[in-house]
Amino acid sequence: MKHCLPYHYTCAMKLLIIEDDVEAAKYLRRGLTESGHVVDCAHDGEVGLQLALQNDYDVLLVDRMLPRRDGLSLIRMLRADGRTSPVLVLSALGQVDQRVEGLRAGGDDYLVKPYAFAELLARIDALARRSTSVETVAPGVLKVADLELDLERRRVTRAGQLIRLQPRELRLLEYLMRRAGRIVTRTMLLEQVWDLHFDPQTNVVDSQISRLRAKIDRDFSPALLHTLRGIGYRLGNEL
Amino acid sequence: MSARLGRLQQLARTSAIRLALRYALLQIVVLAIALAALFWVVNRYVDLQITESLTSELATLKSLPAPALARRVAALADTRSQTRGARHYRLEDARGQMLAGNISHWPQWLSADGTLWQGELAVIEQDDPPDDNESTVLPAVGTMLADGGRLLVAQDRGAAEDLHEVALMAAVVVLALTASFAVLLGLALGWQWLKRIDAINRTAGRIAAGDLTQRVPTTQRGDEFDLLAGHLNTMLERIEHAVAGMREVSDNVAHDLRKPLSRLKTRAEVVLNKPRDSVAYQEALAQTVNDADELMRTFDALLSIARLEAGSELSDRETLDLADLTRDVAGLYADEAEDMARPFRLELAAGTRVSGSRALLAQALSNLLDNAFKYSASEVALEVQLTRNTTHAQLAVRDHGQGIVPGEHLRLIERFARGDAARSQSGSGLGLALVKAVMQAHGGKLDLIDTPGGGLTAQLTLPLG
Repeated sequence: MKHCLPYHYTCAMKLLIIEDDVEAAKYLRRGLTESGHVVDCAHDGEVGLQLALQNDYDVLLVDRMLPRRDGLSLIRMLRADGRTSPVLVLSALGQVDQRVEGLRAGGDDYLVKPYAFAELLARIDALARRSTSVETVAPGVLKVADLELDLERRRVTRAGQLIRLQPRELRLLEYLMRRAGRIVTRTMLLEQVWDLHFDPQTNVVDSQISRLRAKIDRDFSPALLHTLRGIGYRLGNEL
Repeated sequence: MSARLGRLQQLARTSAIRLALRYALLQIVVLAIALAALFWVVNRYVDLQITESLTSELATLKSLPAPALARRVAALADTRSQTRGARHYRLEDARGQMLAGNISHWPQWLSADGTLWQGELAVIEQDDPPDDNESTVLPAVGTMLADGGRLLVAQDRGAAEDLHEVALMAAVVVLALTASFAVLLGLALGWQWLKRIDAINRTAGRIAAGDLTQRVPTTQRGDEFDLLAGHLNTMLERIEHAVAGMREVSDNVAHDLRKPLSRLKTRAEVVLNKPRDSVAYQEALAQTVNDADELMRTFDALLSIARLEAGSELSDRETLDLADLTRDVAGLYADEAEDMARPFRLELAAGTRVSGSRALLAQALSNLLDNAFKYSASEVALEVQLTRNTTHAQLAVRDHGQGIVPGEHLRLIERFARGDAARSQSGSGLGLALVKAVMQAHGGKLDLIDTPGGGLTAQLTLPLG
């Protein structure tokens, strides 16, 4: 039973944290509980695996280095058992090849410690497999409110009016539309839209967002592309 | 004394010595076989000679009439038994009674068929009493006579015996000389090797003891030891460099992480010192988060630099089009420049393929662009230009601003170096150091040069892939 939350994240989820740093797990649990989620904790790989096999979690947060059974082997066991619950790997191992290793083992996303808590919330939200407000009016067409993106013809319209976008802007819009209603963070945009795995010191991300906003929102109402200060962005009907 | 003994034992264990000894043994065996063959051939030759001369004498004697034969044999036995290569005779009648000669009885092993046999013969010495006959092994030929008697002629091996002795002596001398020469050669070689290896071992010992500046001595010979020493020295160079880098990194980490850490700690302590309202706490915590972020950025940059400088192979190397990558990254900055009404020009030589890590090259370019945006006034024109010649790609990020003070160019690339313009700005002072490390890992380089007409150009040079 999912209930709706007052904050930016719409629905409560059942989460499992598998983390051997008890202090870190405690704060993580508190933060996630305060954000409205229901959270279980395990401090070693074996207990974590048992919990994950016995219950149905919306998202699993798994540390890589765990006592008794390491995180990647735990994920492999889960996948071998046919469990498809999304897994977010949390690790201090942040090299590109280590990320690839984590994702190959069956992880759905990889977050390097230390991470911003807002980033974690957004990533959990992005992983939750629930219906979004994207309507598929026809195959190959994304629709959010009266904004439509024809993927094949690379054509964008709002309220029936054609909007001309640069290829870079189009890529950003497609990413946002596929995640309509959910929060996307700066880091998610940098990594997944522009393939940049570091944080530029200048505000290129804000600049890209405001350019897109000028094209899809300025002459229309209501505004669809929202900035959540200190957290990220969201494309959707309501804030 | 015991040291010398140890040295000898060590020498005996060297592969040179073992090789020399093995070789000496082989040589001795082969030589011994050759000498034995020679010995046999000589023997055969001597036997042939003896057979021939005995047979011819037998034939001559046989042709004499019986009384003359007996006289002749008696005379011959008398005279020839005293000379070198003495001959001995026996003439007997059909009943086996000796008629003349100096062999006491007909030996059983000898058949009178004219072929050469060899065996013990009892020769009667004239000076000795008749019962004290000594037996010697001699070659002998016997024949039947027309009257049913038998005639025997035998010969001492005197000359052949000498020949045997000389041959044996020669063989022994040659063998001894060969063996000792091989052993000496092995010893000399082993000694030489041991000396060279000892030099390497001594160096290795000093390095193991912690002195990384030691190098293995080389000679002008250019032999395999020099080759080995050269490789070892290259490796040592690399290790020393890496260790020095590590030391420098830890010094810098200590210095540059301690500063924000102590700031963070002091603030927290001061805020906790007396009760405050929630706004003050909130503010302090927000600043703490900011400090932590800055610490993390510095830490990450230091780690990346250290990892790159440690020289491990790039894990995600691929062949990529630098023009595409530059368009993707610089495009973002071009949009931002457009928003700020800053002139920005992008000029790309399409299809410039290099081999490298996409992530690292993107970061290097992004760092240069960040710097250009941060350290030049917002109306200053920027250019990104990608060119190539036959061997290298050149990517220049150029501003037309104030430029930097002469002499600063090299210093700015060092870790934590920051120009005057950057004092008031945020940043770790690691941006250019990271770019330099990325370039080195790609076999390229970073140059800071003055833009003609004023301003700074950061130029990346990469080998084409």
